[in-house]
Amino acid sequence: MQAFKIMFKERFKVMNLLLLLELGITLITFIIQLFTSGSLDINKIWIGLGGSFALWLGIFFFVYPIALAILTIRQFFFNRFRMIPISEMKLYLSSIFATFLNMIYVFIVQIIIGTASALIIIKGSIQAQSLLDFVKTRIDFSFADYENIAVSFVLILFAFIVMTLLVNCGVFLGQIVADVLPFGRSRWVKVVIYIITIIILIYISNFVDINNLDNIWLAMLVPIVEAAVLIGINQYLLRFIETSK
Amino acid sequence: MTDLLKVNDITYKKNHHVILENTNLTLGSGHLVGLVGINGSGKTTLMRIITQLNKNYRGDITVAGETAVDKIKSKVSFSDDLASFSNSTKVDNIRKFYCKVYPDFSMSKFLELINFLDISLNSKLGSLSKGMREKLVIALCLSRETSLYLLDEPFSGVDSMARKQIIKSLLSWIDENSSLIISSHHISEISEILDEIVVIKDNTIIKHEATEDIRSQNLSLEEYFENLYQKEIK
Repeated sequence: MQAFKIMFKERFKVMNLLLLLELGITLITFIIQLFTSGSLDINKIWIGLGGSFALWLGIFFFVYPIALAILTIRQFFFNRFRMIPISEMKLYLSSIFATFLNMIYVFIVQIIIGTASALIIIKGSIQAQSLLDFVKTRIDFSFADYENIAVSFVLILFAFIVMTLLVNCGVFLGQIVADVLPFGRSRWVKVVIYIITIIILIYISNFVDINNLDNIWLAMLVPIVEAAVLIGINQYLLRFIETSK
Repeated sequence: MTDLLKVNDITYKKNHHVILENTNLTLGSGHLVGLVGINGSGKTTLMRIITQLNKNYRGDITVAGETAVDKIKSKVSFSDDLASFSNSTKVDNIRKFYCKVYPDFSMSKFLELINFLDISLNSKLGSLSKGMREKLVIALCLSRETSLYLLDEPFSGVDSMARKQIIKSLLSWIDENSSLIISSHHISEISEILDEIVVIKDNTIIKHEATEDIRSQNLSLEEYFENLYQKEIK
């Protein structure tokens, strides 16, 4: 449990720093835009603010999972984590669970930022009408629409989780291969091996295409099964992974 | 006397390069052991295998009767060089990390050690000199109350005055039932406190002798070690 808490906190700290960075860059972009546009139209200002949010949201949407994947994989090469007196399986599950929770956290924050930026743009787009009236009269969502949106978000989240596990598997396999090869000590050789193994794994995982599945719940089951299989493989491979730092 | 450590027929290769081959070592409780060998002889590798940081070896490791990886880790305290902590990490945060992950970490012993070694809890890792960093590594390693301590080249950056002070005090920081394996280039300085010496040469342990027996031959540990390596020195 202590190992999980430490891993969670370390990732949480980095995620919050990235969130602050995202907000900071968004505000700077907005201020620059404000001065360069030369317009004092309040609606254009609102649209500009919403646009800045949306722009950086789109970029940072990929930064968080990449940062989490790097943090997760690096930890397994650190002495201080591998010396913790718990089994390799517990260590791996603690690390992956800490990553999942942080991914859900940033995902929720990103949805909030995304919704806020959409509302700001809408607010800027309507002049005489109040936002509440606009939402009441113009947006008529059915339950099925909400369900589809929610499922889409969950599928995107699952996709990031499976991708993290795939990259993790690729790095572990690559490291094991590099340790066996006579010239595997070279950093460049390692990078090439990592890339090849990750590409092969992505190719294998793409045999099941969830876009062709009609049942939405079945589509959600596929990444869950993929994640479970990858967790099993990765925690087995961890017993062959040696630390480097 | 029960065996604290059993290294049974360990062979370790990396990138087709043999580092240790058919290596055996048995160690009892309450011993201070010097692990010596020239650079690249496999001293660090052997310690990392005992700590379970190096994985892909052939053979068995038993520590205090335990063979499971997690149980071995709970019985061994290894001097990690702290490379995975960022330079902005405060000593106090490293202490907190150790406190949380090692149930056997003694806070009072750590505070006593860093006080003796003149390290401030508020210092950042990046602001510590090489010697101070090594002192911190020693303090962290010895603050665990466990069966086997492994100190890998703990004095390479420590000045001779502090080195002598630490070596003199080493005995008082370790429980009489625990054992310490120390690898060091300063054999003459640690020789006084050692009970046994283990020599690694040609990818294996070639000698494991009581220091008393070596002294009875009117040899210093340094001379003994050099004699074993004579061929290579020539």
